[in-house]
Amino acid sequence: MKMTLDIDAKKVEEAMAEYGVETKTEVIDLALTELLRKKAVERLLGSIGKFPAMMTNAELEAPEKRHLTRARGR
Amino acid sequence: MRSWKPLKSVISPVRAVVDTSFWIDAWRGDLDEAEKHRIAELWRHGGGVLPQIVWLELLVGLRSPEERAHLMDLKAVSQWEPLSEADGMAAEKLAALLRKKGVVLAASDLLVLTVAHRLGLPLLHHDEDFTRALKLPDFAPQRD
Repeated sequence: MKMTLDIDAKKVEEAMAEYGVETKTEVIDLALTELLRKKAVERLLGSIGKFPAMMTNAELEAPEKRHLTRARGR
Repeated sequence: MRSWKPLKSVISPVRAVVDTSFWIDAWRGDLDEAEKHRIAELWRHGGGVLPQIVWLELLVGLRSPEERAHLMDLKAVSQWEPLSEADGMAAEKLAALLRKKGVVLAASDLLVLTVAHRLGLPLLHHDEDFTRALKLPDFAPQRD
């Protein structure tokens, strides 16, 4: 997407130098990616222990375990 | 047969391969405080390795749109590790090696362990099968 932005040139240059990127597009993309990643981390931190009804590992592996048990019993 | 280097301690570096069993227990609320801290650090620093097979297992176990949303977040903050033909072959050899020692792992667990060995990273898990395998002399975790 093409757009015209009015942003602090000094910040852009500083970020480009700090992260070793060569274009303004690249540094803005990097900043957005990092912002979204940070938000995802926040959501994940809040998700610990929030799904007590989630399928357990034993339930998930049960079909394969049954198969392995049968195979060993042969 | 390829020799298997010991896994590093589960309490050391910033990066770690994380098994399905660990993620599930994180979301179910079955982690202790140290483990919660560890997982938070992995998320913050992007050091959690997400093998393709773990992603697939988690997808299969989904029960709600909320769980799916958190799974997408997990992928966004993790280091994606695809499986290769070589991983498949290494897992086959690992299966044979473990079987000789009396340990039988599920195919998905073999692939997770193979990825951890290939990357030389610790494996975070809540699975007794891994515990049994990692207790074997060749697979004992290193202590720093």
